Amino acid sequence: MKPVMIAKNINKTFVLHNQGAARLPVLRQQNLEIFAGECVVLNGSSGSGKSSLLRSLYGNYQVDEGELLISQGEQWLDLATAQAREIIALRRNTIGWVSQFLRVIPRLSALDIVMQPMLENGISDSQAKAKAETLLSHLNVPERLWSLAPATFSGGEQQRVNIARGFALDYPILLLDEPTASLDKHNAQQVVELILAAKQRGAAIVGIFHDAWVRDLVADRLHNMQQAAQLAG
Amino acid sequence: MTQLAKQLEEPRANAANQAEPALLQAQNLSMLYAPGKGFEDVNLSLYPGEVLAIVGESGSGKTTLLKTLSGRLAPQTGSISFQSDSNTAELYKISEAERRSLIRQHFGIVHQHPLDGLRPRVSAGGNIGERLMENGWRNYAEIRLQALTWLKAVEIDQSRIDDMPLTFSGGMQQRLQIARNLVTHPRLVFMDEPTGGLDVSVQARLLDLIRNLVTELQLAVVIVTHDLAVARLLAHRIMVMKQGQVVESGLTDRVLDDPSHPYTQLLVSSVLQQ
Repeated sequence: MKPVMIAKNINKTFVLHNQGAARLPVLRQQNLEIFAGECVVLNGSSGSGKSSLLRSLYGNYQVDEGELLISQGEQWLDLATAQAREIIALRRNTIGWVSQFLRVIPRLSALDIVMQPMLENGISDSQAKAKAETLLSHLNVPERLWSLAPATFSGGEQQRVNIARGFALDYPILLLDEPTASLDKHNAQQVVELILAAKQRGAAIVGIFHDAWVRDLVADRLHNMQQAAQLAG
Repeated sequence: MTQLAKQLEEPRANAANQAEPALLQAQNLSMLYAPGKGFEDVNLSLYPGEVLAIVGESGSGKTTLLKTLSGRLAPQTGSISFQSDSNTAELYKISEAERRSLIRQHFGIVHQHPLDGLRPRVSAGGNIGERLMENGWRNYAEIRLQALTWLKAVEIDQSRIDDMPLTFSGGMQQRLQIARNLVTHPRLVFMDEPTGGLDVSVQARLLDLIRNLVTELQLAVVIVTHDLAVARLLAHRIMVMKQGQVVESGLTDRVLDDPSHPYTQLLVSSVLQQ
């Protein structure tokens, strides 16, 4: 079977120009292949570059060296050198991102926030609404909140709206940045179910999970981070 | 809102379509009043449905660049081509009359100070209708109906149609200016600090409105702003300018979350954390 995404020899160093040009190596010779229907969990201590690698896979961080190849039928698109508009197109229907932080858009209701990625992909209003409602109920967001803008929601409620949005489309690749952090066990369990269902339909998933029990339930394999700073030594 | 999209004669092409040509393409553009004043060697392509933010501090040349891109200030060197239907026009090679007609048909220009882009002593309806009349509309009843539709779209009470913009608040004037610009369905809209000088709550409402209209009408937008939060909310891509030079450009969240140029790092780190 062919991987859905391949990261080859990824290197990244932050250069902080306004702090004496300090150099912080964060990723060193990272190699990763991701296949459909599996969940790879990035494993390593705090500061080992898990989050930087995940962000690089989304094109949110620019890698210094290496290739980030995404399967496009017979061809591969290299995210490391792709144009901004190619990355925007990929994010619309190929790579999904779920983090614990919701960037609130003023005046947009929770339901609209979840429906948005579906509407952008031409899914009908009624279908998008039905799916959004199913997801919000699954994640125990009270129905009375659906028509309200999440700016005033609790942190956990905002997080669950964001997770619903991330799972609204069946992206072939899903990147999960601690989606269960700060959720109670019952709600975290609901997120685990969504992850397992996404795997079942063939999504390739890369994630960071703080809770060991969540990791044990969803992970097919671990990708151990090598300490960039030590390797750079 | 959906009625607005339905008014378009044909559905606009999807921005992600790779084969599609750029709407606006600028090559090696320079316009320097003095060394470091103006802009130098700018290259950019803008595609249908794409929003580009130009950010940088005061005096970095962003407004001058916007004037040149929108056909109001000839550059010293370089060229700009605009693609409309299947024709390509070189913005500063065609005659003055042709350029004016192209701007009238295809461009919208939203000024920072709304009264620069409105006729203060003509009614709100007249401000919107004037643009339609410039484009050949003659039926008074239809024009008034359009004006009412657009007042509603920008959330101005329709009963204010006969009032002068001078009697409007700053936020309402800015929304009226946007209606005046969008009524003719331009393909490309240029905005210079559209939220500058407005209260924070008024700003949020305006940004949300712009965001909706841009998606609904598949507009291509070049927006000049010094506010990185505005850029993050509205723009797909961002261009950072300093002393007339483009120092960094790319995907908005990439530039803001992983800035590589010293000046961009300084800009991003200067924003107060919420």
